[in-house]
Amino acid sequence: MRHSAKAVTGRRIEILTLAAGVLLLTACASGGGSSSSLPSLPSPSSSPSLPSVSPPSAPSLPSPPSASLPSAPKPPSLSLPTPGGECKGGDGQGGSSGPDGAQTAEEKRASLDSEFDASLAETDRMLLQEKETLAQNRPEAMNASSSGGGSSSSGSLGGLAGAAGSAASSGGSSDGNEASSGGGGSATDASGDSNSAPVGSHSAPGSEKGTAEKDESSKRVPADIPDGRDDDIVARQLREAATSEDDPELREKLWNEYRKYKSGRG
Amino acid sequence: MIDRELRLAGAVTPLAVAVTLSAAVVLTAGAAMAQAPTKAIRAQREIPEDSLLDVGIQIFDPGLPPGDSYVLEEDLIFEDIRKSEARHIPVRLMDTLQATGQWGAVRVVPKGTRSTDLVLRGKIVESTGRKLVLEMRAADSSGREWLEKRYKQIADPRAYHDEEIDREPFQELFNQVANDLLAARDKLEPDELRAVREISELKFAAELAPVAFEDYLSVDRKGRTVAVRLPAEDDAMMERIAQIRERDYLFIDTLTDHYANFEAQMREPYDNWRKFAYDEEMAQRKIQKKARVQKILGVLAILGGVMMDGSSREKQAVREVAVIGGAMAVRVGMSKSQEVKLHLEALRELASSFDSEVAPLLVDVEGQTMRLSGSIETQYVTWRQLMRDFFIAETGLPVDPDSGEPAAAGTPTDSTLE
Repeated sequence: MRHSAKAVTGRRIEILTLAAGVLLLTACASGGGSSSSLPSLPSPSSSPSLPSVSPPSAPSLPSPPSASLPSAPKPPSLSLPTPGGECKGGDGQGGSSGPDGAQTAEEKRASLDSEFDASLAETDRMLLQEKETLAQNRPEAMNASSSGGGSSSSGSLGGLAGAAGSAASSGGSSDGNEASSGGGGSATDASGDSNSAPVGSHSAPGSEKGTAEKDESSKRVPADIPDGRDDDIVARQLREAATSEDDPELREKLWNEYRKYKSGRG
Repeated sequence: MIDRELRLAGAVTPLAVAVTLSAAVVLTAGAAMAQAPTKAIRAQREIPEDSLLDVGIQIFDPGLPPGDSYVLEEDLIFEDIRKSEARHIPVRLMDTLQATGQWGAVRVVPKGTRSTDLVLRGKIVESTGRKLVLEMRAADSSGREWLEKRYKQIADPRAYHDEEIDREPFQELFNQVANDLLAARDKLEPDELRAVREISELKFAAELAPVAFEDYLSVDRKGRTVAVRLPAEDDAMMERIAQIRERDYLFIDTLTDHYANFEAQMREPYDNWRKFAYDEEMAQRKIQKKARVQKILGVLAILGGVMMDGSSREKQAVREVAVIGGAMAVRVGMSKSQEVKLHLEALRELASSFDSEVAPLLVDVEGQTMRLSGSIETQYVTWRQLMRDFFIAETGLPVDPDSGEPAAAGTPTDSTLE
């Protein structure tokens, strides 16, 4: 893929160079314009505009100065000289370059930046999708146990990724408490035995068991919060985080975020 | 006559004592391998960010000896169980290291993962329900070896019999590995730890943009990578590399989640197998000892009977009893050996049942991780190309399109557009 991209890019640049030279000779030779006033050319990276500049449709060889150029499909950003042969340069007609080529470089960098951002966004989308699928397919064994979680959430990318990452990485605490708030007997055993598990730091030591735990969890859910049966993955993770949070202030903030998210989703 | 009997008794008694002592040595041999309880050392205070190293635990080498699966099963080595353990043990080790709070991000990574600060590799030498033997190696991004050691542990029987949920029978072994890593880390100065992080970052950058960053690193006489210079804090290329590295972290997090999911799914059948294997092995060892002792005593009795003087009818009777009794003891010993074979057969059956349950999960996790790795690798190709294009655009330096290195003067390159 890497070699074919290079080959295509090189070919396109050759064609554009040829086209620029021909236009310059045709236009500036007749009008005596500055040879530096080149029509702006699409940067190699703006590939959507390039396919129209294909070898068969390249401008023809120099013709008599007064003849118009053969009509050929032109890239949107390509500005042709006027019949009078006046060379225009650097005046915003599709961003033609200045005398020192800075604008062309600027355009090129901007184009590379947008391509880079697009590739990052594509990766983010792919990985977040993967994380959501993983979170949905997480086995019950992980929910009932305080261990078996993923790594820490460094590298997560913002609220959604952070929520997905922290849910995957914290493993025990939020999931264990969710299980305990659900009143499962195995969750009771898990929390009771969490001190002996390898990852004991995620669970509160000496946490109460059984009905006391259920009462504690139910107190952490405000009255206006619905039962969450229709929660999607993000809402579920916000709910888990809020339920397992011990600090009342932070817990309230998390519930507020939950409310905002649910109302925003309609 | 009495003297002769007394002499015979005098000859047999030391033999009996010797046999008893031998049996005692055999019985207590296993205890020699038990280790004192080891707890993982947890951080007592917050560790400075620039001293926190990220750890990548590679999927273990399952340590399968050459041979087809039938041959391996004769030695009670089951391929799918070993491959599952090669993912299960790193996840358990990851949990242990995370729980200590001594490290940065701890992840399970496939082999060949891009540069992390510290990489931990392991090989399973022996793994039964009763005993685990691992060979562990650890090295940081500069190439410094932190650890090269063999660990072994006899399982904590309470993990199998006390109904304790999620108690790992070999947790002490993992704790020991964690403590040894910590001891190795504590030998380094904070500057050296910082340098390890810098080298990891530069290695990652050099892999993505060799034309920009290769000359930031070199190798010293010890064969270790050193950073010869550092990029500026506001270096635009490093900012882009940092953004890519964040995606790399997320990718590795996702892979780790796959392994953790697999480990959670296989845990129940695996724990059942281990418990059964432990019980079977303990029973088998007991039977083997009994069988051995029976055979030895039986042979001794036969020998003693043969050597006895059978001149009188009474002595003849005693002699016959000794020989017949000895023969019976040998037979009993041999039948116990048959029992051992039955236990082994039961183990094979259980391993087969484990296979049928876990093999699809193993195939699935391997497929998922390969698919994900393939997808991200495609992105890396794009990013390498983009980094090269950025370098050209920002520096104006020509780059040889084939090698990615700065081109020699006069070499036509694709930067002629400018």
